[in-house]
Amino acid sequence: MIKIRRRTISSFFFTKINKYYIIAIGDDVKRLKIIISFVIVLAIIFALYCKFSIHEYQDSLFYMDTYINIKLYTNKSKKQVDKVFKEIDYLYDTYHKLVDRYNFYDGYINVYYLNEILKNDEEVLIDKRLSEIIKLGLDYYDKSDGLVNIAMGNLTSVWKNYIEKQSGLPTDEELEVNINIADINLKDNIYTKKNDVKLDLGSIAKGYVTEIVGDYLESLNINSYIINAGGNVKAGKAKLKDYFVVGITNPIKKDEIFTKIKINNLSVVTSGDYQRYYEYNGTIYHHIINPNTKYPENNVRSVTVVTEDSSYADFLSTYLFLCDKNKAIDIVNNLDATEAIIYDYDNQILKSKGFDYDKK
Amino acid sequence: MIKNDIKLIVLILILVIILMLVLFKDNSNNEILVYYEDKIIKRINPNIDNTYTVEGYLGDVVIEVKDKKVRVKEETSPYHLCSKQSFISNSYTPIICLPNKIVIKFSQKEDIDEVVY
Repeated sequence: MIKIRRRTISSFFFTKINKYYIIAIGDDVKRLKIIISFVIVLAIIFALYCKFSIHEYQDSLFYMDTYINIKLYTNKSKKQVDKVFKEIDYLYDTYHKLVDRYNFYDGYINVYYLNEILKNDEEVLIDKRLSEIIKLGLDYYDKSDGLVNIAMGNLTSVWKNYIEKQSGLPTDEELEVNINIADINLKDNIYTKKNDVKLDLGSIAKGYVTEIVGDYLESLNINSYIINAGGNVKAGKAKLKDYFVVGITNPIKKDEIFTKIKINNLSVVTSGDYQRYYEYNGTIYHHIINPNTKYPENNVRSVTVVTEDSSYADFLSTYLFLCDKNKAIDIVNNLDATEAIIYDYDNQILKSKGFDYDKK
Repeated sequence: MIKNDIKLIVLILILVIILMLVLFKDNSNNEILVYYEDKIIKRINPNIDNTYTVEGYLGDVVIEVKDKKVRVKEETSPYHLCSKQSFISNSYTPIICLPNKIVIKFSQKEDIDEVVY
């Protein structure tokens, strides 16, 4: 038996025998106790680190004709976060089915049903969630003097065909379709329509659902997140750094950005003419249609709105895109806690009075 | 024995540093990542000009790498929006083939979190 004196830490682990150090695996109970407590302390530190450190979790979904990317920054476990992602998937999936114009889903009275199956003057009780979006759309119609019109389904279908064909122009006859919002009637979730008017909730649905997802995350105390639903960004409070940085695509060089903005607890939505479009005889024809002219509006290349509510940002970016650029800036300057940045046809950048997100 | 303590502590520190280097290695070599839904199905070196074929939801998607840029050359979809998107060279805007559920992006993160478009 070699007698070992233990006055230092290392002597509990290593023993010197004839010049060589060996790992001491003795039968010494005291040594064993110290090693075990050492391991336990390490395990506790590791567990605390896992518990309180912030992890980035990411998920991507394909709904509403877009690619949705969600990033969460939280100390919750992977198992908990997987449940959260499942619920978010369910939310987007449900709303996707409700606002889909092209497909019918069993058990859903959706926009396809209201547009294609429901007969004129026939009453139908619709889902409260769909009813809320339509109500919001009717409200936005008033707020935008009729420029943002959810009753434009007949007109957007015409242009969608030409955008898909990538050439030609619709005739005046083709554009003579009913887009009268007064032909939509919604009272206590009972929907009726007249003159084959068709809904298109595309201009507000993505922002609306993204806002709901944001609220859901906040309700779980996950307040650091960034959601990008096909260019509709909603961000919570950044963790691990001071701000979330959002780039705004350059309309004339689409794989680059023309500015970066730094935000916390805000939504950013862009409406631009460079996403779904075609060029014909030197003019750009895209998917944002002015209900007054029945043609795509070519005031500016893009409008980006920064405000808290993602659904409002989605609406406002479309509305401002359809306005004259100076009027658009005026409108924003008169709104609280809402800013905008516009990229116009002369490659000039216009900003609202309080737009300083690019400076911080 | 104090000398041995110092040796032990130095040894542990070196081990920790090696472990950290391994765990938190900065993935600085830029790759092109090809996703199907949210799973990475292919990693491509952008420095080698070549074409690759991956399977999308509707059929094969042919990806071309040229001069450190990437594009979708051919794919089966109703309107061929992603092959019309042409080449990308950074992670600002990914190539998104919605009907095929394929997303192509560069791994190297720019100094931004998201891009609006």
